[in-house]
Amino acid sequence: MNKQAVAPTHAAHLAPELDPITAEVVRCAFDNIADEMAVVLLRTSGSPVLTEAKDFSAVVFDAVGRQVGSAGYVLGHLASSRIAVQEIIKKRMPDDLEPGDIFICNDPYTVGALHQGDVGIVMPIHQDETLIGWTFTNAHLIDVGGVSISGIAPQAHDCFEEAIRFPGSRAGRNGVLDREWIGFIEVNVRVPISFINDVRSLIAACHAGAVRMRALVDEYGVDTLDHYIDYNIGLSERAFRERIALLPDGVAHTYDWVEYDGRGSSDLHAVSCDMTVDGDQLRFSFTGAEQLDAFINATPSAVAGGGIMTPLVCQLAFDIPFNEGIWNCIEIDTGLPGTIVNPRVPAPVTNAHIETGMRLGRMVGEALSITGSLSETEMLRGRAAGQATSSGAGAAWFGVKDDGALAIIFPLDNLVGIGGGAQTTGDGQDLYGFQTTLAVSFPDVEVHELVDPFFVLWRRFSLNSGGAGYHRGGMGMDQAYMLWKADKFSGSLFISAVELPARGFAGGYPGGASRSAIIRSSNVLEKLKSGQPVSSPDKLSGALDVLPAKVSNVPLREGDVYWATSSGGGGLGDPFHRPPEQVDRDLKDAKISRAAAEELYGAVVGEREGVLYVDDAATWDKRDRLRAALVPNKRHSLKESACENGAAGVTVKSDHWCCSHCEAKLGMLNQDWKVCVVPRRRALGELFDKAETQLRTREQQPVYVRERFCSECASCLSVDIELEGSERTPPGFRFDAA
Amino acid sequence: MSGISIGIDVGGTHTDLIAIKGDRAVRAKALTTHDDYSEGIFVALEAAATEFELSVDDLLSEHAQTFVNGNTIVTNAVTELKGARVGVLVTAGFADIPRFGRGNRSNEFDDQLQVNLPQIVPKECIVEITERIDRDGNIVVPLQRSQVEQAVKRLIAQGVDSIAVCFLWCTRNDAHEREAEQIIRDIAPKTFVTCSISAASVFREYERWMTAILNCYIQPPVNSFVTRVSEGLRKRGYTKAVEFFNGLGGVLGAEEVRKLPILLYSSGPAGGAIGAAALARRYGIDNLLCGDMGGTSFDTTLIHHEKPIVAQRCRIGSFDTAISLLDIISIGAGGGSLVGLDSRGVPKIGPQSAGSMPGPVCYGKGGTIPTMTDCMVTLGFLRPDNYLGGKHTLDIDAARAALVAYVGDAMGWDAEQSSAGAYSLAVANMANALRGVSIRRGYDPRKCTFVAYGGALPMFAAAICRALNITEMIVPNHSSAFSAYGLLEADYIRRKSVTIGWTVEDRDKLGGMINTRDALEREVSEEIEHAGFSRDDIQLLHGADFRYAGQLNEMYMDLGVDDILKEGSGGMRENFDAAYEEEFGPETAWRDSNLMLINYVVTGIAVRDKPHIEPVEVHRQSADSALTGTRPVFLPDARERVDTPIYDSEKMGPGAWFEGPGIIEVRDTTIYVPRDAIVERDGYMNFRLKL
Repeated sequence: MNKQAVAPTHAAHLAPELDPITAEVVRCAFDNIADEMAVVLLRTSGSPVLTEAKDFSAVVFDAVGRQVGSAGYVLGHLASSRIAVQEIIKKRMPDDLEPGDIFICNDPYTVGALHQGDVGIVMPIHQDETLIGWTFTNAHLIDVGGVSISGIAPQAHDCFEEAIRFPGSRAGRNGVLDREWIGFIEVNVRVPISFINDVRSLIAACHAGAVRMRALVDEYGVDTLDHYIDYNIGLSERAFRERIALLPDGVAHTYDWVEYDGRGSSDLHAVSCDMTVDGDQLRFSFTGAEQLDAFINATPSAVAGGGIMTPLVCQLAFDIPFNEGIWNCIEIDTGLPGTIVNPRVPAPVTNAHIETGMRLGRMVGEALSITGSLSETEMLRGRAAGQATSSGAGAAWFGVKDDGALAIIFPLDNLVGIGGGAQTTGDGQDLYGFQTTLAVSFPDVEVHELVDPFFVLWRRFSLNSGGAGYHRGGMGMDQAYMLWKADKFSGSLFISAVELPARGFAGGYPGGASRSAIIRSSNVLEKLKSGQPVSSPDKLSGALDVLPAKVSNVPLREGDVYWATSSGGGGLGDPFHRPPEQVDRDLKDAKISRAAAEELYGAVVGEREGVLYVDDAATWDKRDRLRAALVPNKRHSLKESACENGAAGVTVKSDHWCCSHCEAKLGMLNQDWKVCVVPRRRALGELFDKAETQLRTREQQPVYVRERFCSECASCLSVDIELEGSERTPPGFRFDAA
Repeated sequence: MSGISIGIDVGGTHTDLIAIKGDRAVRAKALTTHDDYSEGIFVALEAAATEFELSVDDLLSEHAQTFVNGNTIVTNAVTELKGARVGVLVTAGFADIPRFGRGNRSNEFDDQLQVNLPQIVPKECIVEITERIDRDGNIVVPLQRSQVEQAVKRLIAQGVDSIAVCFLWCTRNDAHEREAEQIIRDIAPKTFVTCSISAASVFREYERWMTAILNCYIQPPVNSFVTRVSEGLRKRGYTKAVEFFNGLGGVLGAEEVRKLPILLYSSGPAGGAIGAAALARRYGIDNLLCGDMGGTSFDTTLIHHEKPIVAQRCRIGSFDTAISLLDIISIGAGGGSLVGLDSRGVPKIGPQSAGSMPGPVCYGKGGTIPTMTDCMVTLGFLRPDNYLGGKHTLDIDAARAALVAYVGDAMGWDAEQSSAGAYSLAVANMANALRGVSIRRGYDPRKCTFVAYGGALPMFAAAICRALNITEMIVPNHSSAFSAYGLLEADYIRRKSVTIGWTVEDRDKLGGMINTRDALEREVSEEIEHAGFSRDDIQLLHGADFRYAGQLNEMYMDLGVDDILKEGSGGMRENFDAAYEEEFGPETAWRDSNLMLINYVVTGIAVRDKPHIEPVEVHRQSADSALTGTRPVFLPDARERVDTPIYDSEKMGPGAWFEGPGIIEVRDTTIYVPRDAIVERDGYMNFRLKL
C-alpha cells in the first residue's frame, strides 16, 4: 500500500474547537444504536429472509434527515432509508407530526423502497416534544399481496398488479400499530400473521433506537451533538473526496443489457453508464431502453443504492465510516423519465434491484476498476476486480403442506450461493451473495427440511461457475430438492442473468450463468425406495425441463426434482497466467472440470492412479504455443510476463497507454489503445460449451467475447462482451482534455 | 482443610498459577512454552513450591488436593490452523458443506476482506457415503457398509489421523453414524473417531458437523498435552484427579477431554467469569459485569444471580459450531492493540495487535507502532524501571517518539495528549462492549458492579465505570492471577441437549417428550457419576430452546423438571411469552403462533470442594502509611500532568482507604483511583471502589 499517497485528512484541522476523540465516541454511538436496532429485529423476526439472508436494514438519522449511523446488511437500503425519511419530512413537517407516529413505506415511486417487498417503518424521535432524529427499519417481508407471492411478480404488467403500496402512510400513533391498519393489511396479504409480526419487530427496533438516541442527547445536549454530527459528516466527506481525487480525471464508459424472457421471446434492454471523475466529485450518467411493462425497471433507490452506493463502498470507500458525507460527493443523472433506469408509474418494479439495479451496479463496479487501474496510487490500482455476479437462481413456492397449512417458501440457498468477483488480493469469495447484501447466509439443509415440505438431494459448488482468470471468480451453488410429503406447489422464478453473466476484468473471463430446471416425473422416488443414491443428476432419469428465467405458475409435483445452478463471479487477469498448481488445486477441489482447465486455463491435464492433475511444464508450453498462434512474434513467455498483481492489464505511462505485463506501448493517450492490440472474437456459447460452463445461448443476436492480446507479450488484456449486430463502444476510459 | 488447591491458567504469553491453602494464597508466573505447554506449568509449580518451602514432589504428593488447568491450546490450534489431517465421511450429495458453510460474506464493506473459510480438510479427504435419513428419523437410503469400508481404507492410506462421521438427521436416528463409527473402529482401531451426534446432538448439520470435524482437528495437540501433564504430575507423586476447565466454566476429567477436546475452547476467559461469579456469591451481588484485558483483547461478560450467561451455537475461529460457551464478548482492545489513525485521520485503537512479538515499542523487541501499553507508560501509569515488579525495564523515550510519529504529528498533539486520546477511545470501546452484554439483554449497567481483573484493566476500569455511570467497582486481590483462581471455583458441569421439535400445544406427543427428558437426565447423571460423584451430589437443571412456529431462531429458557407437563397459567407457554417480552420488549410475543420446543437441555452440576476463603477483621483507617510518594502522571480525565500519590498494596491492610486521585501499585498490577473516588481494601483483601 502506498501510505504516502493516501495520507489521511487531518481531522484536527477541520473544526479545531471540537475534540476528535469525542467525535469518534459519538460516531461509534450512532452505529451502535443502529446495531442494537438490528439485533432487536433479527432476534424477533420469524422470517428467514431476515434471519438468514439479512435482507433488512436499520438506519439512524438526525432531525433534518441526514444519515448518521447504519447497521450494514443491505447496502441498497442506504438509499431507500434516506429517500423515505426525507420524503416523510417534506410531507409531514412541521404540522403533521406527533411523537410516536409510525409511518409505513414500501412504495418505490414515492418513498424509496427498492421494491414493494421491502417494507419500511419510519419513526420520529422526540425528546420532550422536540424532534431530535429519526429511525428507519426495513425488511423484505415474505408477502405483500398482489398477483404473485413473495413480492416478486414476473408476470405483472403494471405496478398495480404487483403488490399493495404504502407511500409513507401513518399506520399508528404513540408507538402502537393502528387496529384499522392491521385489519386492512390482514385481508390484503397471503400470510397476515407473519406480516404483522414482522411489522411489530420493525417498530420494536425503532423504539430501541429512540431510547438510545434520547440517552445520547441527554449526555451531550442537542447543540453539541449537532456539532459533532456536522463534524463527522465533514470528516467522511473529506476522506472520500481525497480518495476520489486520486482517480484520474476523465470519463469511464461502460454498457450492458438487462434480460427479460417472461413473455416468450428473450429480449435484451440496453443500459449504459458514464462515470465522470471531476476532481473530487463523481458524476454518474445512466441511459436505458424504454421502460418495460415487466418487473425489471429500476426504482430510484435501486439506482442510487444498489447501482451506485453498493460498489462505491465495497470497492472505493471501503474503509471510510458511512454517513451523509459520502452522498455529498456524488451526482446522479438518469435522464428523462420513461426508461428502465428512470421509469414512470405504472411501470412494474418488483425486481428493480436485482435486474436493472444489478446491471447498473456491475457497470459502476467495472467503471471503478477501469479508473482505479489507471490511478497513480498503488492502493487504488489494487482495487480493480472482476464483477460480482449479483444474480442468483431465485425461486419462491406456494402451496399446501400435508398438515393443511398454507406455505410460502422462499429458498435463499441459490440466491445467497452466488460468487463474488475476483480481487487483486485473491480469488473471488464463494457463495458471496449479492454485492448489496452483507453478512448473508442460507439455512442448513436440516432447517429447510424441518420447516418446509422439502427433501434436499444435493448441495454443492456449481462446477466451473467462477470466471476464469489469474484470480478466479467466486463460486456459485448447485442444489436440487423435491417436495416431501406434499404435492403440487406452484413457483415463481426470477433469475436476472442467464445469457449475460458477470464479466471479468483485465483479461479475466465471465463467470458461469445461472439456470433453473425441473427433472419432470423423475425416478427419484423409486430410486429411494430401492435404497439407491440420488445425490447427483446423472443418478436420475426423467425429462429435463429447463425453465425460462422469469416465469410464474411453475408447477412442482411429487416426483419432480427442482434443480438450480447459481452463477459465479467474473475473473481477474489472464487465466493463462494463473499458476498451474492453482489450476490443479481447483481441479482436485471439483471447482473446475478437466474441460474448463484445458479450454480456459490452457492446462495440460494428466491422470495418475485415477486422479487428474495439471502438468506444470507442459501447461506453460501449451499456453505459449496457443498464444504464439495469435501473436506470432511474441517476445516473452507467458511465465515471464505473468505478474504478481492480477489486476494488471492496461496502464498509463506518462503520455501513452501500456501493457502492464511487458510495458509495451499501446498508443498515445488521445488514441484508443484497443486498436493497438491483437483481437479475437469468439462465440461465448461455443466457448462455454467446450469449457462445460453454464450459459443459455442466444439464438437471435448471439453473445460474443472480444479478447484483446498484447501485441508484444500476448497476454490477454481485456475480455469484452459483444452482441451480434450491436455496435456499442466497448468499456474504456477517456481522458478529458479539460 | 489442610490441602492445597492449585489452579493454572496457560495463557498466550504467561502461565499463571494460584495455589490456595487455607487463607494463604501463593501466586506464580512462568512464560508460556508453546512447544510443550506442560513445561511452563512445571516451571510455575516449581516457583509455587518454593514459596511454600516445599519440593515440587512434596507439594504434589503430600499437599495438593486439587489440580485444575485452563489453557488456550484449542484456541491456538484453530487460530494458527495447526491440527490433524482429518478424514470426513459425509452423506452423499453434501461433501462441499464442510468447505463452504452457510455463505461466507462478513458485514464488512470491503470486498477484499471477503474471503473463503480456511480449508482445514482437503477435498480428497471428504468421502460421500450413500445413506439418507429423513427429518422424522426414517431410513430413506440404507447405509452402504461396503462403501464405508472402502472409504475408511482409502482415508487411512491417505494418512488421516482421525475421522469425523457427518450424516444428515443423525439427531433423529443415529444408527448410521454409529454403524459407520463401528466400522472405522474395526478397520482402524487406533484412529480417533468423532460422530457428529457425539459432538453435538442438535439439528443444523453445518454447525454439528463442524463441531465433530474441529474436534478431530484439534485432538492431537490436546491429547499429547493431557498425557504430558497427567504423566508429569503422576511422576511427581500427584494421585488425585487431574482436571481441565472448559468454555462453559466447569471442569472435565482427562478421559472426557480426550474424547471431546473441543470443549476446552475458550477456557481461559471462562476462568475469570467463574471467579467473578464466586465473588458475586460471596458479596451477594445480583448483577455483576466483569472484564479482563489481555495483550490482544478485552473480554467481558455479565453475571446474573451468581450465574454467568451461556451463549449457544458459538463460533470457533471462523467456524460456526454447536458448542455452548459462557457468553463472553471480546473486542480488540488489549495492551498490545495498535494505536494509529484511520482513513479520515481520526485516532483509532486496534483491531490489529502487536501481540507479544514484536510487542509494544517500549519493550524494545522491534515493535515500531505504538500500542496501548506505550500510552500507559507515556502517561506515567507504568513505571519504566519497575515493570512487572522490576523484571523488565521499559523504553519510555521510544514509546513517546512512536506516539508522536503515528498520532501526534497529524493531530498537533504531544505524546501525552496522544496517549490520553487513545486512552479515552479504549475506554469508550470497552464501555460499549459492557453496554453490549448488559443493555442488550435488558440489564441496566448502572445497577451492576464492575469486577476488573488482570494486570492492565484496573488502570482503565474506573474510567469505564464513569462512562456507564457504574458506581461500584471491585479489583480482586491477586488480580493478575484471577483467571487461574476462578478455575478453583468451578463445579463439575455437564450440559447435554437433544433436538425434539415438539409443538407445545400438541399434548398427544407429551409422552415422547417425557421419555426424551428422562433419558437425557439419566445420560447426564451417569456421566457425572462415572467421573466419581455420587448421585446425591448431582444437581440437575432443565431448560429448553423455544421458538414460535414460523421463526427460525430459538431462545433458551430455564424450566422446572416438570414444567413440560404444565399448561395454562404458570405453564411453559405463559412463561415463555413473558420471557420473550422481557427480552424483546412489550407486545413482541407471537401470541397467535404455536410454541415449539426445539432442543431440550439438561445441565448436571456436581459441586466440587472450593477454597474456603474467610474474611479477616477490618480496621478502617487511612491508607497514609501505604503512601510511598508521588509521581507526575498525566491523568486522562483531568487532561493534565498531576503529582499523583502512589500507594504500595503490600502496606494496605484490610480497612485501609483513601480518596483519589491515586495509584495503587501491586507487583504486577496497577490500579488507578480517579479524583472523587474512594477505595477501600476489604476483609477479603479485595479493593472496593466507590465512584
